[in-house]
Amino acid sequence: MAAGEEVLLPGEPGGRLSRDTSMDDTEGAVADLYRRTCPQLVGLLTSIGGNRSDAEEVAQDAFVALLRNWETVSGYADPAGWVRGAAVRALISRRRRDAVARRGMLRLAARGGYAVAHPGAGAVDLERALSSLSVEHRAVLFLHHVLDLPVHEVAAELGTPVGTVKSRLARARAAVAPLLHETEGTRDHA
Amino acid sequence: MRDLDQLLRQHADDNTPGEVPDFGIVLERARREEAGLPHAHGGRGGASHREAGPVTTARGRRGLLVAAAAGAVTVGGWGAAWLLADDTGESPVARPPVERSGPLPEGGAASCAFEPTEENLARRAFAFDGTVAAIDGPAAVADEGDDLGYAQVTFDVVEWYVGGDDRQVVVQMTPPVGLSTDVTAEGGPSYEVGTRLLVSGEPRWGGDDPLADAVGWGCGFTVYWDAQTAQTWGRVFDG
Repeated sequence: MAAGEEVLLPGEPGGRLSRDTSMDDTEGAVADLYRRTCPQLVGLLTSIGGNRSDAEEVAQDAFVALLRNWETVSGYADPAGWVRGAAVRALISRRRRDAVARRGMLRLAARGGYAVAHPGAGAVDLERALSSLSVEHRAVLFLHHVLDLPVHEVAAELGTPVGTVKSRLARARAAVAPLLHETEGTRDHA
Repeated sequence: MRDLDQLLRQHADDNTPGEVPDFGIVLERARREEAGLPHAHGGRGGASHREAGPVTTARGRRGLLVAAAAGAVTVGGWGAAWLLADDTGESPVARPPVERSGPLPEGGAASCAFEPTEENLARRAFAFDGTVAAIDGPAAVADEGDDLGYAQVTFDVVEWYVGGDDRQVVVQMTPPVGLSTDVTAEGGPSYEVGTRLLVSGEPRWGGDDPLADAVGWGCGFTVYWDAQTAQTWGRVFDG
């Protein structure tokens, strides 16, 4: 960077700031959050999306978004939750694009069925059960059961109606039900 | 008996990496996004870039947020990217919709399993007469054979034939196809904001909700609106 070149603080469009500690504070704060939370975020995204490479890219993009919006998000109670929501939504969008781009959709239609996969009586392990679910279903399953988010918080994080979350959660839990004995119901508490 | 929480937490833990790429890769992605450059595919990138310093602009005094708001073109950017800024960064100029008729061109993106007969049309889970209000998703397919994935197209519905009753609906469709090799030429894209279409299709996952992750079918099941075809569709779905 040339001497005297002015630097913009991400999230402050059009602003002219000299290179000062506020820029370093933003980067430093986001970097700290990244180091503390990114591994777990990547693990969650990999479980939801089924692909480590996509999970890492989506996680990185979410932190880029956090750099842009740090001035606002830093005031939130849970900036890590903001990053997670952004990442999960981005992963769902990416999977939707990938799925509908497959030309085999029309060939599936020719066989009288669509991209619906039922676990069937033969599902014998979690991976197979999860692979039968869409990314949207896996997202609500992991956010609710792994992160212990109540349904309304899952809905807020994904930008999805509560009713949709409930129905997807029911279907996802039905898909994995053969593998376990469910001991508790859906958590709806605030 | 295994608990669901425990099972899923173990699955997520098993997928948690021991380490992730250095934060410098995030700064590099931010810088590339700012400059309108494509991301290098693959999450790991190269060597650490922490020493590269903070994000600076390559053009003027625009930050990340302003660049996005101004509609700067990025590779894989969302929105009607073929309408957005060219290399000069000039503001886009919208073209008036071009009058066309017949099936919506798809640039060879789909292999067709069904003929668009009236019998097959009548079986579609949803169908409507609508005007494109917004297009979100991959840029236009400029060359036949390109496959950039489906776009999310919002329609203002003029009339529902079957499957819905809302004033707006979002449908996944093949992105607009450039009707010449230059999408800025007079031929323009196959559809754009303002294009009126007759759209039919299916919910992506099947089931009872016709519009759950709705996919607009090509292969003649989505056509440009004209009065006669609209009348035919009305008869097909009323019958």
